[in-house]
Amino acid sequence: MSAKPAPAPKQTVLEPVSRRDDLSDEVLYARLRDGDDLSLRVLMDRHSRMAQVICRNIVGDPDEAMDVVQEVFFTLWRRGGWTAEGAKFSTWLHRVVINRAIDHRRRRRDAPTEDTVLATALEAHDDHGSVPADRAIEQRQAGDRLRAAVERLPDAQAQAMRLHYFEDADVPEIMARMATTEGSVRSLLKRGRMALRDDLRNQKKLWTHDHDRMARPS
Amino acid sequence: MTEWRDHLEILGPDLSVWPPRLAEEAVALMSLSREAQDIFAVASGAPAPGVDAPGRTAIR
Repeated sequence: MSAKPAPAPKQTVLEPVSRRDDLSDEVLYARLRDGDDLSLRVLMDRHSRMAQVICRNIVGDPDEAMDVVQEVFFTLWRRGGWTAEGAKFSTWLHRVVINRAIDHRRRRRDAPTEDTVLATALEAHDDHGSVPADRAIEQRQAGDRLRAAVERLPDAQAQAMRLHYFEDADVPEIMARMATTEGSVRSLLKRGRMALRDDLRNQKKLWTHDHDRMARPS
Repeated sequence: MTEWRDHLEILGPDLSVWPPRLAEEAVALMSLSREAQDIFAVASGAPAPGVDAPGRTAIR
């Protein structure tokens, strides 16, 4: 059995982004699939605003819409998906955005509402000093729950949080791995942290309420 | 599809302001029909399918 010859390395196209501005979506897409990653930036500049409007109309929240759209472009960069035989590129892109927005809306609706998982996990992370064995087990379980809580974030946020907090990736590395801009990465991390913090605050309110009720003489 | 267009025309494309039951029906319809998706995209401001954006200029 003869070994398949290795493909010739792709030649990197080094030219200013502005030279791509006049190219059609279809040409940009073809160039993207051919390894010209900067073509993605032009497609994003051209289509992300409309995609976000469509997505926000379905998911209701502009930040979540931005995450969903970024995820769509990330998938486009990684896997492609458009074919010249079907709809034109922008029509296809809008359909993909709508489908992802619907998935996101349904996932959010079906997500567990109980916040104890996150709150317990974060509480365990804040708990320093020597810990008895049963507490250590609880903390390990809490760590697992924290990961689960991160997984419940919108996909792009969850990916950025995973890379940053569980794989120690810095912002430039996350930019490279998610094929997005510094601003986007910082925004994803900021909103991811805010989402986790909000969950914790909500849970702490519940704890206080429960504690007061238990302490109150009947 | 006529009813779908009517709803979009009357209520607008922002599903968050639709009555919940109607919004869920809209989502269900779009998850099944590309035509419904295309109508929704146009109602949201996108060019009609098959029509190029003017001048193919970047949206910034």
